[in-house]
Amino acid sequence: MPVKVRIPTPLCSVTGNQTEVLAEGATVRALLADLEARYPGVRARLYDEGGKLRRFVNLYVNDEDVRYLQGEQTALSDGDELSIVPAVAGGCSGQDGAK
Amino acid sequence: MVIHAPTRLLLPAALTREIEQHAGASYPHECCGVLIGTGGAAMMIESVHQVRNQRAGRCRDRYEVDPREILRLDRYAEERGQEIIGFYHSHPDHPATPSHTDQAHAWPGYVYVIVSERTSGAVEIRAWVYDDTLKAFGELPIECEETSRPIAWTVADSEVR
Repeated sequence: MPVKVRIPTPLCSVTGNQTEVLAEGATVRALLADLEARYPGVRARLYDEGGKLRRFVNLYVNDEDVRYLQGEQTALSDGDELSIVPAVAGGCSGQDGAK
Repeated sequence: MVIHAPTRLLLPAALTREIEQHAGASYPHECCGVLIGTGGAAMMIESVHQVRNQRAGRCRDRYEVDPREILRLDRYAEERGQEIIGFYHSHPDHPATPSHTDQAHAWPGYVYVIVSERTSGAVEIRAWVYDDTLKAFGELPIECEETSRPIAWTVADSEVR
């Protein structure tokens, strides 16, 4: 059951510059494991050393944030699309030097 | 899409003005937006898209882009054979250089445009890319030129709340 995965620019170096790839899995967790098998290095970008999904990574199944579904246990169906969306943030807080 | 190490950013003057106007309208709060275009050694910005700063409680010195807007604009770009090149945000009364906070949240592969907005009205705009190996930002020269091409715009909710 292949699922389309949208790859953000920062991860394209791992997927051979592909912005969309196919992977298989009945859940988000299984899909990400398959993605790592196909494109080694993906996991290190998505998970921290403790094996938890990084705070700065968002996962959407179709248009739903998996945090509001069943997280990594969210079931996937044929035709679903998983999007990996980086959190983008920052600001002048913590800036060196005078104003 | 092929990733090249970018050497310069082509930012039409009309889009530069729009970013500066967004920063001015949001002052003294930080504004943010998404840059869409085509990659390569010379990255070409085709359109800029204002998005709401999600950091409502800290919007004087922090910004955060709604990931749903990133997803929406990624699809918008894909439909046009383009991509999200990067993001812009303002530094009210601070230099247009990356802060420690910017670095803590930086992703390699994206261009970060920072616009400095002062009470005097002075504006400076600079572009940066993050090197994950060096753990540091490098500046990307901006080439700003006038253009007669039509410019695509979408405005989400530009008001900082």
